[in-house]
Amino acid sequence: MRKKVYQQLLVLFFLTMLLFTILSRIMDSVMIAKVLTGRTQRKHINSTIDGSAAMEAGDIALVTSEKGYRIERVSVLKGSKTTPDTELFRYQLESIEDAKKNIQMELEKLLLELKTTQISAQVITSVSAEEILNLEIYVAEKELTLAQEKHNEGQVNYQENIQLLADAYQKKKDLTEDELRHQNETAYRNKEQSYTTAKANRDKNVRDAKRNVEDAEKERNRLETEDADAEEILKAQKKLDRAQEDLDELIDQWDDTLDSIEEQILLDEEQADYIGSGWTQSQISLEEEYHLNLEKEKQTLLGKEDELKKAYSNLQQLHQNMVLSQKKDAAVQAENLKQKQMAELSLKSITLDIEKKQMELADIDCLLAQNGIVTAGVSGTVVEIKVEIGQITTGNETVQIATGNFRIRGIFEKSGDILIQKGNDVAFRAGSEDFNGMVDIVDLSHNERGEFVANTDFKDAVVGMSVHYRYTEKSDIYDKVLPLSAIHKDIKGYYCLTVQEDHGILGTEFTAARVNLEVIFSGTEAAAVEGNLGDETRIILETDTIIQEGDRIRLVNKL
Amino acid sequence: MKRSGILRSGIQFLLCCMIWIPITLLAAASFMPEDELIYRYSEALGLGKDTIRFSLLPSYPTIQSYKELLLYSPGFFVMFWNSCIQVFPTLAGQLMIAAPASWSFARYPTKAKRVLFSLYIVLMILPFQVMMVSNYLVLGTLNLLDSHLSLILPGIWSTLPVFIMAKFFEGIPQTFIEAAHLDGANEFYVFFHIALPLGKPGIITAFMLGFFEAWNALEQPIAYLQNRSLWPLSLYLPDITADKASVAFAASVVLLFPSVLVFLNGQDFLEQGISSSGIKG
Repeated sequence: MRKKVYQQLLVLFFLTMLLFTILSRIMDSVMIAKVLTGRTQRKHINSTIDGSAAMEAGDIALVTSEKGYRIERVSVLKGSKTTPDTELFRYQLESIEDAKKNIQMELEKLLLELKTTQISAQVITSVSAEEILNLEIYVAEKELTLAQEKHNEGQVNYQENIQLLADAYQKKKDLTEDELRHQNETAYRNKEQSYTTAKANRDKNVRDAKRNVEDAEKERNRLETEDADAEEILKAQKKLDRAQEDLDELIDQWDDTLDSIEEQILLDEEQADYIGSGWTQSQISLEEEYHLNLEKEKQTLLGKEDELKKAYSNLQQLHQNMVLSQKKDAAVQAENLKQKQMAELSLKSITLDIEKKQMELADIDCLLAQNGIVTAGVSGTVVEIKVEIGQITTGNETVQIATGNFRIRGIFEKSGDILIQKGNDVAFRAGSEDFNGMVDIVDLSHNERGEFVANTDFKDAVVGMSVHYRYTEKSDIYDKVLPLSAIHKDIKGYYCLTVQEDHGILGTEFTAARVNLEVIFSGTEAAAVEGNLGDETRIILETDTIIQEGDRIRLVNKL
Repeated sequence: MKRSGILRSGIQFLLCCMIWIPITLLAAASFMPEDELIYRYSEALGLGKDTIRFSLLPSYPTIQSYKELLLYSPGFFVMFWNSCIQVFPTLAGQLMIAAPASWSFARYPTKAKRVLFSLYIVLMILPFQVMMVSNYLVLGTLNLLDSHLSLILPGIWSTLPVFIMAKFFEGIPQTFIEAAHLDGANEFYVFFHIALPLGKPGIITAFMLGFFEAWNALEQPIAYLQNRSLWPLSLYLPDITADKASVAFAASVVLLFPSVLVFLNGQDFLEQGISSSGIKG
């Protein structure tokens, strides 16, 4: 029984060993490093730069929204392809109609404003102050001449009157009392008649002068009521003042004249009384009268002289005023010119506004004719949409359409083995699509990184699309070129692992053997090396796990 | 009497312990992690000069070394099966060659046979190193080098089984054979139906000793086998490196199993055979 157990254990032991033999073989086939091998090659070495780049639009066409409309729908998406007739978005027709009404109303207002400005721009040609002053000078000269004549005439009259008075005095002195009384009565009656006539004349002249004052006052009031030019109002005021002065002067003159006649009448009455009271007394009175008349004549002459002086002074004053008037006229003329120019500019501005509104109206009509649809106008790709459904446009919303060829902008490390050169080709990959581009711009001004811009005619490009680029440069031909994956480095230097055939416990086994190398030139994926590598030496290019010198390996064709 | 019995038992216990301690240390080391093994046996492994720190139990037991050996060492199994290929045909060959030869030496004694048997004994006691060159030249002439036959054929013609079996066959009573002849049995019938059953302890003893010799053979495979893929399991331990010491201990334990099981199976016959033939290992 015990032996049977031992026998079973022995059998079990061998079966177990058989089982583990199979398992260890399986594990070995799983665990052993699988390697791809190859041989050195004589070829170029490609140095490549890989990286990411972004698609940019070569040219951008902007479709800008009109101001004040509501967006009813947006018909394109970012990346949509467009033709000139492609609908981008559509305005709400009601909002366009409202805008049209507003513009029409504004246009009407502008037309009215234009008319108002045209009217206000008309220059009213009025008599200048210089012309008025010339007239006044002319009148003053006439008055001076007249005063001169009156003065001269007064001087002549004075001599004649003196002579007449002397003669009359002599006659009266020689007259009898009756003759004198008769003569005195006759004179008294004549003077009374003169007084009556003078009073009638004074009333008539004063009435005319008052009427002139009233007319001037009315004219001034009218101008003030109509908000006329201040200059005109001032002129009217001056005219009124002058008329008032003329009236006052006329009243004073006539009062003097009437007072003089009254005095003469009173004198005649006194003289008549004197004649009655006594001859001698009469003679005395006659002499006094004579001297009084002489004094009057003298005063009259002096009055003429005063008038002459006054006329002369007035003329002088007018001549002095002429300079001021000329300056004033120049200022007025300049002001008029300024106002005229401003009016002209205002007219132009309004005209331009009107033209603008008319154009806007035409645009709106055009938009209405298109049912509010805005089209792309160009063929390209929509890259940005800044209009939204329901939005009221401000006029700044745009739809950007990329036209023409696209450009690709990428960056690369300047510290790499090679630099991207202008004019060389670059391979791009977007998704599964491969395409090429040519480097147009290279910017090395940045510290650590360079930037390049390449042109491409890739048709399915989308602005902002991220693409992978590969820039490749070929070196000279080298005799022994290995892929970089086959070259390793440790403290002893560069080396590669080759396949060594050993006859071990498991039969013919392949193990990894170390061969030291010197790297002559290194590319991105391969390097030229010098070392103890024959043409037929099998070099481990890739492994599915990390291996070291002496490790068992399994040769496969594909990892 | 009683006191001397206790003393004898005590001495026997100490002797048993001395025998078992190496095996226990071996088993304990097979369950030690690599770093603990290096810490304890660095000098023995050639990794330092620290004092060896024996321990009957590992600090952190692990089956990592067995896992490494049984799952990740296919070479071990190649060598195991190589051993099987080399050992069992050798034993079968010995059975076929040595049994008739020893029967002949036991049942038909002549002068020539005695001389020949003496030559067998001489050959048996000669160390392998003496025969190695001649064997190598013969095997080379026969183009058997670097093949399993270079170990199997010399093993088949080993002299030890003949010597052991001959001693057992000589112990079979002559009357049994004569009775068989009277019953009409010929020589082959007598050999297969009387000699072999009655000589079974000797055959099994020869079989077990042959197994131990072949299973643990070192010099022959090293001398005759250049191809490592033909190496038997006995060369596994010398081939293993210090950084896989734990695997070596595990391999040693596994290597023990077939020998122990074979010994347990034929323990009774082996004792009988050794006592009959006067052989001591």
